Amino acid sequence: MEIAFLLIPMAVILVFAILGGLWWAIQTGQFEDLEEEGSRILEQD
Amino acid sequence: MQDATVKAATYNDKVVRQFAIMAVVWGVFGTLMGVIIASQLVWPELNLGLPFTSFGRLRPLHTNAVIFAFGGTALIGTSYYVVQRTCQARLFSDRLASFTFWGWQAVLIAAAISLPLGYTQSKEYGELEWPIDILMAIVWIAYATVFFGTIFVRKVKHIYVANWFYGAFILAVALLHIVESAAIPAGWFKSYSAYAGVQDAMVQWWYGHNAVGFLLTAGFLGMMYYFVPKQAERPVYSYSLSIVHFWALIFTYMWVGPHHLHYTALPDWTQSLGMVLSLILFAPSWGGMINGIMTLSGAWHKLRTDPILRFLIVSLSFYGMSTFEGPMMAIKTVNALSHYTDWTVGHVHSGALGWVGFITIGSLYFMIPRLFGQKQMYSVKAIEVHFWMATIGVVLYIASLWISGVMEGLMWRAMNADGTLAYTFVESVKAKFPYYFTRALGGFLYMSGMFLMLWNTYKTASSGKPATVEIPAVVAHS
Amino acid sequence: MVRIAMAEPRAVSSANPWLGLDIQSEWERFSQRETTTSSVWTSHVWVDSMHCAACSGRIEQSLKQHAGVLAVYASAASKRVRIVWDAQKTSPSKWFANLNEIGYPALPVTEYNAITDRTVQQRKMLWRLVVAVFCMMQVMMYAYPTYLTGSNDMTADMVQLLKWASWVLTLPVMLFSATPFLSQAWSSLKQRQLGMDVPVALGIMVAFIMSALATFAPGGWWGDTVYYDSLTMFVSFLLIGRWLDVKLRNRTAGALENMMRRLPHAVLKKNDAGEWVQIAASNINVGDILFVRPGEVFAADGKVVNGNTSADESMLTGESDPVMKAAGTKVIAGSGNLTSAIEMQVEQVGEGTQYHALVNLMASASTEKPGIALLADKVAQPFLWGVLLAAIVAVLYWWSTDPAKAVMSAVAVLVVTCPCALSLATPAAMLASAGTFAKGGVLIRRLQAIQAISEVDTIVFDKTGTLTENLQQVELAEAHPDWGSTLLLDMLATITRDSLHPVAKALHGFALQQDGSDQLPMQHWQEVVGGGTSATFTTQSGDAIEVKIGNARFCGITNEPETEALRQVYLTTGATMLARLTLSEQVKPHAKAAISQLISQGLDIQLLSGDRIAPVKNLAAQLGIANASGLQKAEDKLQHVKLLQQQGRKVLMVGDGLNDGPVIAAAHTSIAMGTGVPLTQAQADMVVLGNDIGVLVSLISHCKKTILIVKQNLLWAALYNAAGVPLAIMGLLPAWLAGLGMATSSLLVLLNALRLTHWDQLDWQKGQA
Repeated sequence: MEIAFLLIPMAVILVFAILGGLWWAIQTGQFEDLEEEGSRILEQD
Repeated sequence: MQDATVKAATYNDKVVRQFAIMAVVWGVFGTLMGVIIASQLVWPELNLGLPFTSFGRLRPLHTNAVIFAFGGTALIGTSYYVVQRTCQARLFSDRLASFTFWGWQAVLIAAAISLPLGYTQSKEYGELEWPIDILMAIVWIAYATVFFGTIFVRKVKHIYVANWFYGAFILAVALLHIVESAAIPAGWFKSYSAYAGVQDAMVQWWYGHNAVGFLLTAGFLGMMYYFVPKQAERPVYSYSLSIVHFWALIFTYMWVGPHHLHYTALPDWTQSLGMVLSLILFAPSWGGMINGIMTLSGAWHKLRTDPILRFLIVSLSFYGMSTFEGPMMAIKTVNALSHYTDWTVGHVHSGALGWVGFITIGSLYFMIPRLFGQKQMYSVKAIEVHFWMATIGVVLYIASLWISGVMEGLMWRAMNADGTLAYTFVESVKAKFPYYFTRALGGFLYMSGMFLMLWNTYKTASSGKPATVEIPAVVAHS
Repeated sequence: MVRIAMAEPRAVSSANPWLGLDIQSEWERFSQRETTTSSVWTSHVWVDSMHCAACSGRIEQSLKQHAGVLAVYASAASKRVRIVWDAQKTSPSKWFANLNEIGYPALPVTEYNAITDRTVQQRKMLWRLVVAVFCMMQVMMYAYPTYLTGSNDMTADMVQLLKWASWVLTLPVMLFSATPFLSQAWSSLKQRQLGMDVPVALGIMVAFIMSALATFAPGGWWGDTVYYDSLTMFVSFLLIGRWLDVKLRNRTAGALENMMRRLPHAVLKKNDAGEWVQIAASNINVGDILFVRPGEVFAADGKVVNGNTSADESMLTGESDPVMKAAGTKVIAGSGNLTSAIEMQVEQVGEGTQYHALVNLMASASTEKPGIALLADKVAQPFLWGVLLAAIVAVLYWWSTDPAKAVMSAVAVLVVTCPCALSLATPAAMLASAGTFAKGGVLIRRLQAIQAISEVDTIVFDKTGTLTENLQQVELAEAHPDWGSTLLLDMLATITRDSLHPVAKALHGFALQQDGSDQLPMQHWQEVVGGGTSATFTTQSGDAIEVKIGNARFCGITNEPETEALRQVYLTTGATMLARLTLSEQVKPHAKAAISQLISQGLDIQLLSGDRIAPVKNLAAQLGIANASGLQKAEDKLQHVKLLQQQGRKVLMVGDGLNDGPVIAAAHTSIAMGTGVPLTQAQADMVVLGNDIGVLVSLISHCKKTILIVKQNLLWAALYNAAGVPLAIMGLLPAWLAGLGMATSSLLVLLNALRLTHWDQLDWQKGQA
């Protein structure tokens, strides 16, 4: 199971990377005015 | 100069058209391969006695053709369509986008040639030999550049949830592909895996299940979150839930792979962990499914008249079914019965034919007429017929394999009073014959539907002409 | 019709008056860049004249065609328009002009900067929660194998690896997510107080230190068990409670900011050369001459020097009728210019204006308000001491036998008694009720109001608009017998036709309803602010007669008869009174039933009004209110409320106007009723949208129910602790089970609170029928 010593640290790093993505999303206000954004796609074409 | 400005104000739909058409073509090819190998299981003579047409070589061709050729092509095509429209920006680079099309098709053709010739790394869903793997990686990086580049130059501040799913799919597949394909070449057509023994198995199923999770689930959920609201003409039931769905899914999916290795040399605790996380996965999956289906609340009547919407919604029902069945099969006691039987194959196909296939078909039926400046497909009646052929096909397929799988599992474990096995292996094979026949029949129906779709697509494309869509200057307010 | 026609100032008509906004530093105040490098901006403007969806549609349609404008979102409800535009292709002055052309003059809104603080806080809170929850999920995953596998199944190095991974994933939770608890505990300790967060912080810290020691130096007295999973779960649940709280606060807050935002940011000022130039509102000086268009808000106190208009002062005086403004009349900052463009001379700016005085008064009145200690806080203090004591007992009891067990039993005590359920008990119930109320058209500004309302014993009504309809009922009380009623009605209809005054409108409507015609030939029509209107009619015999309609003073009536009606108006010619009309207010539907229901619940109902005594008494009698006073000014009302409070009464003030502001702030709690009174919305604890007074009854009973559920929740939390603590002290409760218990008790509290999501506004009537 030596592979776990590679996979688990990688997994931890990945979690931080995903959290980084979330941080960016929250800070740029991606999660505000959500319901308005949901209907926006219907108004094109 | 003028041409450049005109281009900047329109969407790049040329590459989307190319991908869309090829998705249909590969869909026909992949299901045809499936029908051939399903028939070989019923009538072994169909192996023709040739190495190139033997089950062992055509089966990986079938899986590669449906996952990477049909699924992959459709995913790239729809993601280009969706990302441009939700970002209100033209694709980041026309050249790179064009490269992704030709590069991806080159990978697929190389696969279609090398697999029957017997060149394989013998890893499930990762059979392609290292030169093709490298080309695939390069194309994928180009694809990621085009997709994320377009998001970067977007005109709409908010990044629509479908793009999050597509983005996660692109990144995860890149990571998975690179880790999984790590191999030491031994000549142009041969290589050895960088991992050994149970570790190789662990990496293989970490990859294998995540290919399901991120390619066959996250990517197609991206499709779902755009095309279901579009076709239903109402916003996603709960947009907030869709975002929770996304983050919950990507946080849990990564770790469920070990459930493919129950009762193997993998340490028991790893297996248990895989099982528990698979059970947890049920929650976000069903959250997403309910969210998708409830998008139709108040517009259920549309299902009666709109076969495209029916494709999309039925695909969500299959998604719900598979994501219920999956965690259940990950429970070790259930797995003891189901593992290595046809039940697993049935489960995969309820997801692949029902969920992936239906959502893709529905999305393509939405997209293709618009790409050719038409209001709808050449024949809506044909869509209707396609829907019923596909639905009956899937139902025949999964029902027969479910029965056959459970029967097989029970026969294998049945014991006489004295502790000897009640059945020989070949008895279980013989018992499966009628179910294999039904499965082949279901597959044939599904494939015929794809042929019908190809005809309908050809008619639509030839009666219309490639449409140039302007990027709207304005987004209206709800 | 005599109106002083005002030519648009020449300098303005030739040059674009919004040119001042084209400086980036100016537009930055109401705009945001899409990305740091792009030339695309999102701007927020306020369009007062946008009343309906059709207006917003027109605005969107028109602006969309404007080159360089990329997107338009108009919301009639908030009167806001969000415009996305490209600075390389257009500039604010251009689309401001465009908006003006189509009849929707706009004002910049600097709201974006104003809400930033709140947005930042909300984002940070969400981020803390997200970090905690995701890290918890990961830590759980690594913790899980140790629970369900035999001790020999995993190799030692694997166990160590999992511990290490859990430690890394717990770090962000400790260093970031949990900091509010740690820092609040620290600051309360510095003040030598025992806050709710002290045991929490202690538990978190000890569990983390023990786990870290077990990870990196296993084998000491601290043992080798880690508690990262319990720890992260604990923090996550605490944060969910906090987050619910922040979310609620932000949803109901912001009304005061709305009011602050009312003043314009740029105005047109006449410079020395006599041209109109755009200047920032902050640069207005006393003595400046400003040009104010209809639809704009007066930026300063002053007097009209040229022009004639009407102003909406409802936000400042509670008077919903437009007030006529002729040259020489005072205008107040914050009020809106309704009908035509005028020039004004500034007399007071900034802090010196009546508007600012009101804002300050309200702000200070609300801070002076006696704080209502939350029920939980009362329970919490002795409880927290008990918790610490219990933890110490646990340590002392076990120390001699097993130090690790001693410490972790103490942690279990701290965790199992965690005020999660306790701290969720109140906000969860309040949140559920607030949400329910919001759906039923009742907005809550202060959560404490729910408790406060459940405690009141006296309700004081401000009559106008609260108990009566805004529409005035007109009656013809007296008519001159020698004049035909048709002619009287025709004259009445015609002479009131062109006035915007609500009384005139009511009279006009009445006359038309009685089949009067408003098309009589009429000359020299004139309107006198604060009086009435006059005009000349020609009789059939060819005589010109001057007819007046208006109040007693305007018409020269000296002996006004006493009446129970709100107002009397007279139609006269010369010294002859042609007709006397009375205007009275109508009682709202349900009002009588609602009042009697309230009285039967043992509440003392009072009525204070600024109107004349007779009509107030009349209304009170109609409604069955015993205690009613008229001619009450704001100071009198305040005095009265204070007097009641000195008698130990808990007063609920139900009003609708800003002149009630200080009274509302002083009362135990307050409800604003009626539509379109934003200032009161900012001040009253609750706002009831719509006119139905019956809502009050069910509102009060629902508040009582809410407090009942809060008490149940607190009781449950207390019982759970009473059961958990002895187990924890005895060492029978491992930390993870304590954490699970904590989670379950929190969940029960939340579920109990969900019962408050059903609210039948009319259920009190069922009992009556």
